[in-house]
Amino acid sequence: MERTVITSSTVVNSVVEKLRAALARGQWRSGDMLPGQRELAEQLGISRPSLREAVIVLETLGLVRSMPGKGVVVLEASLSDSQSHDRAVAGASLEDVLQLRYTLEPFIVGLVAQSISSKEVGQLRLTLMDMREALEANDSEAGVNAYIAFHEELFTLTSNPIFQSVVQQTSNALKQSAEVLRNSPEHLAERLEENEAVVRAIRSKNSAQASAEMRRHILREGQRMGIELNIPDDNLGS
Amino acid sequence: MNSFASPQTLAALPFPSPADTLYSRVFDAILEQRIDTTSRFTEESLAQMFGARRSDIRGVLTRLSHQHVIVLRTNHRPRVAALDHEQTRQMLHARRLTEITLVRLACQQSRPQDFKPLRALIECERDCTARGPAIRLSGEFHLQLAEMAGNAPLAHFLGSLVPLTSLAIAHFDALARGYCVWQVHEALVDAVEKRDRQKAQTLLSQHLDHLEEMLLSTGLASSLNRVAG
Repeated sequence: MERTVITSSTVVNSVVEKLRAALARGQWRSGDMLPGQRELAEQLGISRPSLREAVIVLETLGLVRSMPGKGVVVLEASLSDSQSHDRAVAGASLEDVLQLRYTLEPFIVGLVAQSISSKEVGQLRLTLMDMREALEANDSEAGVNAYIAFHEELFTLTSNPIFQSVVQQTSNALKQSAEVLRNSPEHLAERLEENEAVVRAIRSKNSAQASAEMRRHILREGQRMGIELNIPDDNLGS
Repeated sequence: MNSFASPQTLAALPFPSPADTLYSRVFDAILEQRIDTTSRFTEESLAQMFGARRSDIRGVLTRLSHQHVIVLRTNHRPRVAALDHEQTRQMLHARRLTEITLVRLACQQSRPQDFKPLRALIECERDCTARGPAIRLSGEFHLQLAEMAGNAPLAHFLGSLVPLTSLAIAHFDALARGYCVWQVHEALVDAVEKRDRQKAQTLLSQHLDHLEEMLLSTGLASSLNRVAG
């Protein structure tokens, strides 16, 4: 898609081209958020106003959309071929992400169970109620959103910044796999039930139980997606 | 269904990455405590100190802030992160879980050509150790080992824990010698190459036990006393 880019600045032009090439290469996929303005501007070695201009151009080209207060989201691109092979190199499969979740999330909920306040438990239960309502209303999209929100809340509750990078990754992955999560409404009921078991254990401050429930949930999640996880035979590190 | 969760590191971006060597030099300065948690510095002063461009320094600081080694806040000077006891504990535990999974996967997934660079790195560590502690190189060893597992998101997460471990180790400068020696690394690589999962797991586990003991049981404060371990 060649269109005239209306801009005076060569800096902006070259940045647009770089970003376009990156998008074409599948560096970011539809639904991904671009790195924050500040970060991206720094990486590209340009000023933020220039970056903003470049983003406006990309938006005009229909490649991205700015979401005020949220960031810049990559749209479904009509760019083909060159995408696939680079992806396989840099990419992560659903299985990789489940493996990551299985490794970390039981630990995360264990931590949360040790330190959670009753107000925070209330928040988790509210999110589960959203999930239940979605289930009753047969609104699978709302169900998936509540599921992702629940997942993000758990990470936030650790209040340890080292987990923030991983929650970003796994949330993106969950959003990407939302289609998989969505086409199985009957699974939403199971998912809810499993998450309720996690929250019950957290609520009674039972770390070991919370970890065990989360482990069970992720294993079941794998089964629902037809993925068999590589699980240690012993319980090393649990 | 592939590139979601692709790590947002500088290296993963298609743009020319700021000189890796500058990153190494700045990180080394932090690990050698030439820049520490009490240091007051700016992009400008670092640029002068390292004879680099300010924009390159900024790139390095951004990368270090992703690794939680440097804390960047708008309208504040950058500073070196200070880990408290609880954060160190959580970090080490997360590292244990992550790295043990990765080593297990590496035992299954590694390809013969993966071992050459890893052994070269150990050579490098060996040379460096003759002259002093090789904290950063040692961290790099763990990250390269993780690459062999073929799980990018997990390896990426470990990538945010290892530099932080290095930082914690550096605070123990008196004890840093022998905390993570190339001999251990060599044994670990041997085990992975032989696909001996049990052995690899045990070695790594012992290694992390050692780290944990050093960083946690004495408490960070005692690093000031320079008590020999």
